[in-house]
Amino acid sequence: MRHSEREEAEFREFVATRLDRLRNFAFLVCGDWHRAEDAVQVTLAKLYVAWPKTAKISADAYSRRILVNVIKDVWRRAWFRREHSDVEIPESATADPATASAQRMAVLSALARLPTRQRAVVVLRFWEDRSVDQTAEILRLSTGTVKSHTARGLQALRGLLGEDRSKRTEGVRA
Amino acid sequence: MNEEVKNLLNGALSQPPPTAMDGESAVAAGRRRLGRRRYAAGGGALAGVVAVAVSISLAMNTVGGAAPDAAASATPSPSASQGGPPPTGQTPVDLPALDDGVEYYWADMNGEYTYSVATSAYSDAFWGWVESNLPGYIDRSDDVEHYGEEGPVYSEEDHVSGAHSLFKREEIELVEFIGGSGDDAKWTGYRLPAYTLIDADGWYPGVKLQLPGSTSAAESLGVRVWPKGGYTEGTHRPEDGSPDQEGVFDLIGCDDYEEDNGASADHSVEVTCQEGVNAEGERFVTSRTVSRLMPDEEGHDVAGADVSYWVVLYRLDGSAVELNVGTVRQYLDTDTAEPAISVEQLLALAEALPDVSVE
Repeated sequence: MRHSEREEAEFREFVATRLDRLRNFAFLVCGDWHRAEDAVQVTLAKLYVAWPKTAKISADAYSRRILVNVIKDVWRRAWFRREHSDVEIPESATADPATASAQRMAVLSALARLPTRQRAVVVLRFWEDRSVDQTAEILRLSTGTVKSHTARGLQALRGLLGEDRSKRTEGVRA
Repeated sequence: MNEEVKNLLNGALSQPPPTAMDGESAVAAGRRRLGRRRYAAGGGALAGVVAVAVSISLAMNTVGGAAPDAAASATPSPSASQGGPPPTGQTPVDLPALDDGVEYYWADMNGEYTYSVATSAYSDAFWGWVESNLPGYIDRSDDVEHYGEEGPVYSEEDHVSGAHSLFKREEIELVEFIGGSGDDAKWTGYRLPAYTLIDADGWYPGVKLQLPGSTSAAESLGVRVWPKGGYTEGTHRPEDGSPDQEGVFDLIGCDDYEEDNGASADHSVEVTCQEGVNAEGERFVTSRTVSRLMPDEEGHDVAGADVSYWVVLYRLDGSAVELNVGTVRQYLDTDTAEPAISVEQLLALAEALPDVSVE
């Protein structure tokens, strides 16, 4: 049994309108385009299976929850191959000299030092503009945990924020 | 502050590489996954499974491993063939004839579950056994696994209580792959009823139990009861993607194999099976599977392995109980955590379940 034509049409539309955003979300959480691509593929397959049960209003949130869990699982599987280098800058970031900047690599490096779910909290809260409650619902965390993850995430980015402010100030002076 | 962080994150995004993904490919992958949602305890959690050396006090004979004993490797044949007492009133289901050269597998019906007096009896017996035999357990089935450098852990702050996994009646359907790449499936219309332990969300089969004294984050335990006639008693259950049709109706596999976890790494899986007969005269087969990441292209190897136990008890009434357990382990590179649920306990759990027909 597969899903109905109407359900599949809705699913296709969801993919067409959300794919780019999901890929970017995955990249920010895992820091690697190839891994992000794999994770989004698996996520969409899982989302398809659950689609009839997934109210359209919650598909966005549900897809994020699946995606974070997929990234976490893939992260675990890839744990050894990276020889515990998860706190280093992902390879793909350094292999992209055309677009890489010191600032970009610094942000990726800072994010990479956070546990997966903490990165997801930062991305959901600040890149997707989700509220604490929404983030808690998506990740099935308590609001207290979301707040603490947010604080730690911001702490990791604090130096970069200061640097960013400094650069922009210098720019104004120039 | 929020805008500053958002700008930082936007600045971290580079131009994404081209993608072949679109709605069509996502639907195709989803259909494939829908078909391949085979029963496996713990769902995604099983990815981090580890088990342990088996010490079985019951008399057993090795029947599997790299070179399974041919005599013990039954060819597909109707179940309930062990010559026990006459079967109860349970009406046997008939297995369909298979076409040569076609790859078949069972597919779950995606959330089409029902409860009944029978499933309640199984749920009551299961949780009664857990309460009596696994004191101090914490049900982590619906808890978020936090993941840090130390591996998966659970937080008391995020603990979800009161949402136990329960047995549910589901129907599984036999499907066949069509297309050279196996990107699609043909639903045969042949269905079987089964009673399966499924989490409160109706999503993952099984239950995750954190047990005192265990070095693992949790034990991942799955149970399914198969109807009379709905299986064969061989030991060649094929893995997903296997073109080997032999044993497609078997409930346990004793052949070594390699798997692709769908991400980036292949695993080699070693399987060791044993079989025996319990005090009631019921035949059982157990397996220990050890899954190791294969060395990558640079030859990097890893010390850790995922190990799980499988038990199938062929009951005198013609039904069969299938169980498996693994652990959500920590320290994935070197860890070989001891699961707190032994093969003997799995067998005892199977025997503790009620003799209620799967209808």
